[in-house]
Amino acid sequence: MNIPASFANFFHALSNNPFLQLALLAGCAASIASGIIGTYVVVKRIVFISGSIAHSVLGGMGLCLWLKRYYGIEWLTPLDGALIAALLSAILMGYIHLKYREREDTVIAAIWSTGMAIGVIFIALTPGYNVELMNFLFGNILWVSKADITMLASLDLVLLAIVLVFHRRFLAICFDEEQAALQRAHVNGLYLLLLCLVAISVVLLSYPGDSHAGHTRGYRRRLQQPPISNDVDCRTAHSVFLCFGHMDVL
Amino acid sequence: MPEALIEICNLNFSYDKVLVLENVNVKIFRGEFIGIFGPNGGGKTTLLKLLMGFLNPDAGKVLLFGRPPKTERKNIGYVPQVARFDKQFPISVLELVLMGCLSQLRWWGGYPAKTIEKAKEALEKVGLLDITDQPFGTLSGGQAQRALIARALVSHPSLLLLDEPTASVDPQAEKEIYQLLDQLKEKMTIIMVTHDLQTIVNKAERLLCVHRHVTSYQPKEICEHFALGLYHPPLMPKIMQEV
Repeated sequence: MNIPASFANFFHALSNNPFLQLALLAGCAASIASGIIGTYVVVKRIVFISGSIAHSVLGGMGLCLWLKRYYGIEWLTPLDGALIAALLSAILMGYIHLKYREREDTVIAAIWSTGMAIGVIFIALTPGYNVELMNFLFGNILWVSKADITMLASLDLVLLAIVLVFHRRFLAICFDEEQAALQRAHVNGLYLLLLCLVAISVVLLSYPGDSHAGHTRGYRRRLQQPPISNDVDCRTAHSVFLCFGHMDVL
Repeated sequence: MPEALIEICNLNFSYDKVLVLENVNVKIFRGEFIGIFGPNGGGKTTLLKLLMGFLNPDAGKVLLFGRPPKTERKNIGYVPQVARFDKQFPISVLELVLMGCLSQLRWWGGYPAKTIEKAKEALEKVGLLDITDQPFGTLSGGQAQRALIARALVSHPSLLLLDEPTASVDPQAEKEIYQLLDQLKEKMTIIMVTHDLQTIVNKAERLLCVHRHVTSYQPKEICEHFALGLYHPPLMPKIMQEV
């Protein structure tokens, strides 16, 4: 298929299908969050930690789904479990980074697989057919609802606000923790805050079924041009294009 | 006897079970220019980290300005080894230097105009004012080293610690770094880790050999054997002189 024709097809499909428009909006909103947080993830070299957080959420989702179905706790959604599991594993990961730097790698991998294993166990225990859980983990951008977009947009605003205030401090701990400590920055607190932001982004991006959380890791490598603030928008554009491509395939 | 700026008493330090520093007793006075040398793995960088309170001694104590190092960190300027940094990190020279006054950041995350002025002054002092916007990763070894020195100077510390500032630079840049240190030694206490014994013997007022134990030397006591890695107590050259 030639490129102009495929673009024309895409815009035609976009104008005729409201769900595609929602998907595009979700892609844009998600790309802002993942662009911002993904940048820190790459320069701080915590890709593996972020991957571990992203995968260990399955444990929390599985547990909540099991509680909901088995004990009939209706208000509990897999998203609640995912959020709690992500924050817990972020804090645990931060603690390991601060206390056991030498064995960090191994422990992160263990949390990754343990989280997923717990998830799989609960899926097996949960009565019924559990296609829902896998959709939370891998997602489908075409399922996005208007409420999801509102939530994504508010997440973007909160992230933007935190990053605007803390950007230089985050940059300082990413570049040189010792220098930041000499200047009496709360290095450990900032590191934990950063991991929690990663956790929240990972969970909320997977919620409307967008799979961009996984792509955030690659952005900076592809679009490397300092300083950080200037290329957040490049990356946003990049991920919008990813989203275009994704839909075109559909 | 002048007041000691740094006082290390009966200090022991080990990584896991490997003893790196044993029974260290050192006093450093205000305004001194101290050179630190010793074999690889002898504990030079460890000693600097103990001085900044990034590591805690197993036994004994470290006092900076008569207080624990952690409370006095703001008075320390630290110039780490250039090789430690990520060349790809997206940061400009000015942003790097501004990290030296991170504590002056306003709550909303901006630097006051006065701080930016100070950062530019520090860059002027090290001769990098014309490349403030260049990415740090693109600088040559000598330029990068000077940028790190500017970062350490911007907060006007009273103690400057340098970890092998001449390790990865060409002879011209090395000369410039030493000239800069000559100007600075009037204003602050300088402690510099180096492998370049020949130069430091001429520059420093006192040398510390860190080789599990820490021994203090006058520059004239430094023996040619040291450059070959054969460290021995200062007693020997004296005996030789007497003979």
